[in-house]
Amino acid sequence: MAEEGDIYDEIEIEDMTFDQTLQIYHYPCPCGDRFEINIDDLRDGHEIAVCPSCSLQIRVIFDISDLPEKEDDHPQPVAVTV
Amino acid sequence: MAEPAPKRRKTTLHALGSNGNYQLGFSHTQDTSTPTKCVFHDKNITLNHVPLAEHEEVKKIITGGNHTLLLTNLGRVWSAGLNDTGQRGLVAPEELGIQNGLSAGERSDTAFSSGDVGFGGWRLLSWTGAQHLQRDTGRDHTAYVTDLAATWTASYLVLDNTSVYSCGSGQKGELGLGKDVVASTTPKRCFDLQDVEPGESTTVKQIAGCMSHAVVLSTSGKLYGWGASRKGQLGQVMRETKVSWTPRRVDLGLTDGEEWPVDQVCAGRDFTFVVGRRSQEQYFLGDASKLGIELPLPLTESTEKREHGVNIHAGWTSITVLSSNGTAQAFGKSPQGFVKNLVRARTLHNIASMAVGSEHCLAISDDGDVLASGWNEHGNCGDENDLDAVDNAQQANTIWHNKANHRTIGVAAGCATSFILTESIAVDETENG
Repeated sequence: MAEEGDIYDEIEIEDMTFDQTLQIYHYPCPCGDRFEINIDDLRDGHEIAVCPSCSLQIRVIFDISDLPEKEDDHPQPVAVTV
Repeated sequence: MAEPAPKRRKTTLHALGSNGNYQLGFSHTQDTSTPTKCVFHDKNITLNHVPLAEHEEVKKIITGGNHTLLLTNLGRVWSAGLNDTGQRGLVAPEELGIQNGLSAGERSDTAFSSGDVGFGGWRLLSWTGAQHLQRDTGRDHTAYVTDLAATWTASYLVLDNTSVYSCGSGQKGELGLGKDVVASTTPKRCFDLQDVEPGESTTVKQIAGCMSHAVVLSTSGKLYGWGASRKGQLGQVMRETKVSWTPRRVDLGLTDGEEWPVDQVCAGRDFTFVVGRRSQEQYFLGDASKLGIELPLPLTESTEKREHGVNIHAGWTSITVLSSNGTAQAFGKSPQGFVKNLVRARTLHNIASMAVGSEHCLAISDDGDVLASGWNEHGNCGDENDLDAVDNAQQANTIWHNKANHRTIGVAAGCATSFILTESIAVDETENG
């Protein structure tokens, strides 16, 4: 896994910007593009945001419990005790 | 016998590095590791030199994340790159003869197939500040643009050394236009020195911006700032609010009697560094220990005095000090695990002036050559395979050789972008237009 490759920096999630439409967190990369990571990947425990234009990556510092609630269009049926 | 025609000067801008959004000012979006002439669209003429009037000179080049601005001493502003949120101040696309505006489909290939040259190259800002400044302040002004700065997606125009206008966008108060104002496609007044130092004859000495914050230094030595402040880059008071939506005085936290006027300021990604006129007068706003910067920095004055004293420059995560003896030294440790050739690894000698980008630096040597050092993934420090170009003594790439009739007059550096400004005396008639 390339996750331990060129980690440019560790960035707190509060310093990143959340794009509601794309459901990604992003942060500027020194190359002019930006590091991106999908919120679902964060929920799955991934912590490396990558830049699509260069080799640099950042480690996102976050707490899964602090992520915004997942907007669920299809709520799971509630278990009903009969 | 007729007098020979006076020699005309021609100023040329060369660029290299990251260019995905036309930020180098070419007619295409390819990266290049070779200094390449920029293209200027002057009305309907396309030129490969900077269109300057007789007594006009390039005063400054500044960079945002994906846009670049150039200021002349006559207050004219040229820009290149992304304008998706108005960060280039290009608010009247019809004036440019572009139907759909620069923001729509900047990156789309249809821009080229239409035969429209409008999406690449440098263009002149048509916005003039005079009427705005008079309306906003009630004062009469010439409203010359006297200085520039930028954050990632915002730009600042200083008018008459007093008023700061911002345009573009920023989620963290970068525009300085008030709470929750995150976008402005036209330049609006966000700061005026006359409002905070009324009746004084002070002017804007310096303006600096980095990723998400901006600072203004007045000639009275007071510092003002706005934008992202969570990392303490605008002082302890503004750290509490995390974001500063309007410009405020930056408190250096010095106790009464210990205060000193700020002489120079530079802004990094999460920090601001200021120095006074004496070498021990230094203040780091932000977390110096995270960058491994130990204060005070050794800002020793040399006995071999140059025209300028010490000059401080900030990269995103480093500070570079150009001492009066011509030694450029970078401070700041490599962030965890980051093993690239960073600007901070280098000490350069016999340097006349320099520019520091996000993670690289350019330096003009005493001979007028341009050296490049630092992170080079986009070719912004030249071609690493070109071993002849490497100055082993300097551990840097020589990306430009000074020529007697074509001398180096300036450098600028941004997010993996490098700019070299040169001036030739004789006009080369063979140049294509």
